[in-house]
This record gives sequence, C-alpha cells and structure tokens, in this order.
Amino acid sequence: MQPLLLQVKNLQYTAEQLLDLDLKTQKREILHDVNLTIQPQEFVGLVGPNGSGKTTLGKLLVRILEPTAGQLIIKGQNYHDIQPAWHLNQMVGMVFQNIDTQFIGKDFMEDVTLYLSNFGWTAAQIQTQIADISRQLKIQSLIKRPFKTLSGGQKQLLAIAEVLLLRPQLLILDEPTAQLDPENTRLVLKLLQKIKKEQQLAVLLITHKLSELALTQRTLILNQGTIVQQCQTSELLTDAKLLDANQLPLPDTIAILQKLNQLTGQSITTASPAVQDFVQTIQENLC
Amino acid sequence: MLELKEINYTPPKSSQPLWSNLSLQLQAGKIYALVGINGVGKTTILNVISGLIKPTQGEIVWQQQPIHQSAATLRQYLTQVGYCLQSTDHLFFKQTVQEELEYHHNGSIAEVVQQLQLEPLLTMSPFELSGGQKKRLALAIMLLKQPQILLCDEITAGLDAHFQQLVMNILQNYCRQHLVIVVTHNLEEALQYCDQWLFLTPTGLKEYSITTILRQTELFQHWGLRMPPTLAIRQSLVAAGVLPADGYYRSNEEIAAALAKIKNKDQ
Repeated sequence: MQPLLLQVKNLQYTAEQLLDLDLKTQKREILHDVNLTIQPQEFVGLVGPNGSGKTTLGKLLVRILEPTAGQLIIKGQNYHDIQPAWHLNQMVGMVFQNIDTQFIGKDFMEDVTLYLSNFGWTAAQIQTQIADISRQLKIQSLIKRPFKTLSGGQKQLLAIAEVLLLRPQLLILDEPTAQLDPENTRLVLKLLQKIKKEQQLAVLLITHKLSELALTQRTLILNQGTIVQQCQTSELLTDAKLLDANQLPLPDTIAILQKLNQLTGQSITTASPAVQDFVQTIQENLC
Repeated sequence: MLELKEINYTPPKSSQPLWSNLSLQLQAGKIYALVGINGVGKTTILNVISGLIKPTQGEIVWQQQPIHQSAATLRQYLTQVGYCLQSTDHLFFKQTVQEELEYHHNGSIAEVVQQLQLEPLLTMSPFELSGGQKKRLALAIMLLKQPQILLCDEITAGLDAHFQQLVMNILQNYCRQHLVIVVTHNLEEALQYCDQWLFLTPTGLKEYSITTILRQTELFQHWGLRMPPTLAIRQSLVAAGVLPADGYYRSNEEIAAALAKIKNKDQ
C-alpha cells in the first residue's frame, strides 16, 4: 500500500468574528473533528450544503488559515514542520471560485513571472516552465492576452495552470465551474479530464455539480462542519437518498426513478445514471 | 408594461453595436428566462433594462413613459426596479445580515427571513456568507423593496438543489403581480419555472412560449445551446416507445408521473 499523500487528523477550526470597533469578538465553530486522507493521484470529491465549511477546509489545507486544533500532514510531514513555510505551496495548491481575486498582473505571463520570481526562480527557469505547462494544457493562445479580454472559463484554465506551475502533488479546486456558463464549464471539465489522464497529481474537488463529481473516484460528504460520510462516487451518484440527505442534486435519470418509485411503491434501481441504462431499466420494469 | 423599442448598445471604445435593434413588450404574469450563448450580452441588456446604462439607440418605455426622458423620469423608474447582480458584494454594507435587512425596510423582516430561510444567518456578517447565502440575502433585500420590475442575473448559481427550488418558487409567486426577468445558464431550471423564453443573439431577441420550446427542441441547437436533460430523456423514452410522442414534460417529476401512469394502467 503506497504512503498517504495527505492526512487530516481531528481538525478543528473556530473563527473569531469582530463584532464592532470596540474589538469585541464572537467565536463560531466552523469545522470540528474532521478526519480524512488522500492517496497520491487520487481524485476526491468534497460535497456538502452551502455554508458547511468546504471552502474553509480548502483554505486550511493550503495554510491560508491556521487550524484551532488537529494535525495536517502532507507526505508524512506535519505542516508546522515544513521549512521554509512556502515549500508547502510546492506540495499543495488551491484555485478559488472567484478567480479574479487570484490575479495581480495584467496577463498570465506577468502574473506568473512576478510570483515565481518571488520563489527564487530564474528568468530561464520561469520561461521553461511556462512553455512546458502551456504546451501540456494547450493554453498557448491565452497566456499573453490581458485577463480582462478572457471569458470566465479561460481565466479558470489559467488560474489552474498558475498553480500547476509549482508542480504540486495535490490540487484543490473550489467549485471551478460554479460561475461559468455551460460552454466555459465544458472547457474546464475537459482540462480536468486531461489533468486526470496526464498529470500525476491528486485533486480535491469541492463541488455542487454532478458533472464535476463524476470525475472523482471517492467522495467526502461534509455537513455541519464535519465529514459525515465517505463513499465511492459511483455509488453516491445512484443513491437518491444519500444525495437528497446531503442536499445534492440528483442525476436527472436518478431523480426520475426516485419519483417513480415514490408514486408506484416500487424500488427500481438502475446500473448507472447514463440515459441508455435508464431507458433499458424502464423498459424492463414498465413495459 | 415594459417596452423595449429598437434598443441597441455600443460599448465604450467600440464602434460596433452589440446587437441588431431589439424590440419587445414584457409584462407581469410569467417569469421571463433570458438565455443565449456566452458573451452575447445578456448581462448588458439587463443593465440597460435596469436603467443603469443608457441604450445608445432606441428607448425603454415603462407604463407608457420613456425612462430616459428626464432625470426625474429615470429617478422614478429606478425606484421601481430591483436588480440582483451576478456579484452581490456591492449590495452589502452593514455589520450583520439582520441589520442589512432592517436598513432596507421599516417594518417587520420576519416574513422574508422565513421565506428565504435566513434565520441561522442573521447574526453573521454579510461578507462572511458563502456565495449562495449572499444570493439569498440579495433576493431578500429585493423582496423587502417590492420592486415592480425584478431582474436577476444567475440568481441560483452557487445554490444547492434545495435553495434553487426555494428561490424559483418565490420568483414564480412574485411574477404574478410583478415583471420578473432572469438571466440563466441553467436551462433545466428555465424549462421548469419560466413560461416565456427570450433568446438573445447578435441578430435579435426572439421570444418563445414554453409550449413552443417543448415542441421545437431543435431551437436549442439553432441558438447554440445544449438541450436540457429532461427534454433529451423524454426524446429517448419516446424513441424507445415508452412515452407517447404527443406527451410533453417540463421537469423530471412530470416524466416520472407519466411513467407512473403507464405502470398503474398496466396493473
């Protein structure tokens, strides 16, 4: 059995909210008793209702936030033992939902040159890595265009590319297509499929969307600040009760079957959410 | 009634208008879904309808009064419009959700808090809310103001399934007495809740009733959009001889009901 890439043990995060200018604060527990593991090159989904703490967990994993208690261990190393601290960025990276907040420069070239030189990279190293990642992700036509001329999906591709430049072993994506139209969603999903096939890294995909979840092998369900369940994604996608219980949308075919079962008192199940399997199931049970 | 008369808009630093001139009449009674491919100008047309930007051509007429006739008519029009933009952060400035709601309304906020299930969020800062929670708060603020024209740009993006349904049910109720236009990429949702569709393209704005949409699914490909899964599933079931060719369904629930009828008939 290969060593774990990421271990999270008894993680707790309590936020301190400033109430007013008298510096009075209020504590609010956002995460408690969170335990999870991720294997190398594993694609894992993280789902849960709005406000369950998914983005907060992501921020803790890239150390934008410090946990109140618990341990974060990557490749056998405790986060607090990683020195210098910025070495963590070369192991785990995160792309946020609102990618505009991630960019500083006017275009990709300017942005990455700035932050990679802060990591001590030479100009030659930066050029080589940019050429490499552009070719791998097929984004050559985008890297010199000003961000403001790009669509949401194109910017999302570049945000992912920027994080991948540091060759992390774990990429965290926070609802990568939530703000995108269907056309740009397809663009990003295609890239994620490419990453899954060609890049040797694990991905933690925070999502509400089944089309994104379908890329993952295993799914963690976060509810009221803790991981309440984990399962194989394929099982989750055909389990109407589990999806419903966690306020996840049902695949359309599963939604139809669930309602049909309610109306007829039956318990028809289908092998997969695919339309052809669903139609066959209906034919076998109804006709 | 809201009327768009030969509307067009040429962005600054551009010499080309975004569309051919658009003309339309809109009224209360149904939710209008404004759909179209990426970049066609759906948000821009909403900005024009809201009064935030002035069309470079044509006029917008509300209750027979051109809204840009004078500063006074525009001011009056703006008091009638509620606009939930895609990004909601601009709307908030109070320390808590409760204070935010109370700022916009002199009376009780209890009803709208209950409608949008905001009770657990009342003591939180609007800026700490998740994306979906911010959308619900933005809509709550609009409902407190009771605008005659309610414009929503991707109001359900980032909401989980439960709140998507909640929000759309609220809008269905609201549109009975008010004009409601939603920009959406969620065509499945538009199919279920929106009785009138507006397809925006560079060559114009085409209006279709839901009855037409259900019967002419080739429109989606024609306008460069993906057919909602409910319609695709219906087509497969009709092709397999399971559902009748003259049956039309706006949601997965309606398909299930039709299948249940078949099952119960056989028994």
